[in-house]
Amino acid sequence: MKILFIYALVFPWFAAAQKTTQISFQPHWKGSAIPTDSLINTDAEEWIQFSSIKWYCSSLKVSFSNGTQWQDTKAHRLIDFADSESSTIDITHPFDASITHIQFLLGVDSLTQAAGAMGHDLDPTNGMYWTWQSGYIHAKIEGTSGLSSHPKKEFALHLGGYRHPFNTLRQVTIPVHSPKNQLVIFMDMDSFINQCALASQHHIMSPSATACNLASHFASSFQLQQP
Amino acid sequence: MKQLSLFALICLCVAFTDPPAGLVIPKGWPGPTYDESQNILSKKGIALGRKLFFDPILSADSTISCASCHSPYNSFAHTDHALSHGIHDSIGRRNAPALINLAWQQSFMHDGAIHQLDMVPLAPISHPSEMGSDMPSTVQRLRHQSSYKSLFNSAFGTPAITGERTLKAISQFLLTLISANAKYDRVMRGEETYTVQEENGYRIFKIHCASCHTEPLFTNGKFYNTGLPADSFLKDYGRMSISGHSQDSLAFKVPTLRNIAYTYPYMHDGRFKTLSQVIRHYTHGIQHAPNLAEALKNPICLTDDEKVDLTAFLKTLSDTQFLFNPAHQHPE
Repeated sequence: MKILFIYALVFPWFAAAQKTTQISFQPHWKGSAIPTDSLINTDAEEWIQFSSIKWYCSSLKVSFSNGTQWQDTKAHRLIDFADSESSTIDITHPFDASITHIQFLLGVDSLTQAAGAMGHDLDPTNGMYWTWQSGYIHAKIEGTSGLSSHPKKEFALHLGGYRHPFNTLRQVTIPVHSPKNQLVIFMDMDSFINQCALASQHHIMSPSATACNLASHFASSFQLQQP
Repeated sequence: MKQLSLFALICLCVAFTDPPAGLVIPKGWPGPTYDESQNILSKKGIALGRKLFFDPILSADSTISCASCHSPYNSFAHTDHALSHGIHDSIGRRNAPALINLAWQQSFMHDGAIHQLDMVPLAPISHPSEMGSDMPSTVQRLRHQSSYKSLFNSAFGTPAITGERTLKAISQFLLTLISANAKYDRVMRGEETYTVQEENGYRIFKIHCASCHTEPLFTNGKFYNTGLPADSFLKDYGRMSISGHSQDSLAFKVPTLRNIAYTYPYMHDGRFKTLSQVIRHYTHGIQHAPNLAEALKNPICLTDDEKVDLTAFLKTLSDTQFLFNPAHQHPE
């Protein structure tokens, strides 16, 4: 009887027990986190330096083993590799529920695109809004590289566009097979840059078929870091 | 009891310090396209927007304001200059359009590049040949200007100066630029009558012009190739640069004809200095193209008298009350 009484007292506490899983997004180059504005010297010709990797993570959802879902209250997050706080999200969820999937939109949805000026992560001062033609830049990747044919070796890939036929919004789904308290989702920038052909097109500044292709490649570059 | 009455009085005063202003929709006009619920107009918001509109602080070297190219006396267009010019005497690529009745527009700029009013200022602020700045720098300059903190506080409830608030304040002022009291409007309301010449001009207008310059806004907001030869220097192909479709080659947005007598020169690149040159283009100057506007595929034939009458009608679209409204001028 005593045991039952103690169990009755303690069980609701356990049932309501929450835990926090931290998800962080990191750009990687060949398995290592990319430092801000530092040279990644692969060899004499293929050196690369990233000055900006910024992208919108929207409608972030996490699915759990018990069939429930966590939805980000922040509809649109601007993730900037130079700002570690923006790249980390804490998810509080029931203790007994483990994460099975992480899903988000890479970019800003068309309804938001068509709306007026907005603030915080969507504020136009963040440098993620095309001033000459309405629309958010879904992902901005900039830097210099020995691969670029630009006279100053620059590259600037502004992947945007929300209207047919050049809609670069992409959905990303990451399955989680071995959930941990800290999950790192990395962007494989090495394989992404290999798809970019910087020797022939080092600047993308408008919606286009090329932007669509690169958006798909960038979306495919998101992977869960294995233990 | 006395304390309760005093408290109620204070609440009322606070509530009415900056009541919502709201758009005044002219009778018979369609509902506005702009969603006011996302940017509630208030007297303080409009006042802030007006100050920003006339303040060259928006430009990189603090020499060019919105009003530099959008003059209130010219229906917020730019006369005497075919193309807008900006900092360091740089010349732009387009003629500044009139900023009136913007709440009803579905797209902005001659090529419809901008789809929402709030976002329009980003283009001139960032253009190297206009204000030559960028939004973050502009917001920084505003933050360092002591007068703006209190103005943003009054308008938005807190002193934070952000890109969002800057753009929304400018929108609030722009939304008040409603021109709907020209002679044409007074005739439509039964308050005045046309002269014989103006009446005939209106008849000609309805036959040849109204399919694109649709009443009461005098634009249907669509894009057409109106037979203007491409400028070999500017190489401006209009809507095609936005849509990517060849059928939009040399297509530009139908401008409003309201206050047209005050918004010369005309067309997207200001190539015509007078209304008679515009009318002559439509009667004699159309360059045929596969995507020429349907309404222009048959020649428009007007006698000299009809051209004069048409011009007389177009002048009835001048709203001098709007043009000389002190509320639209420099705030100081």
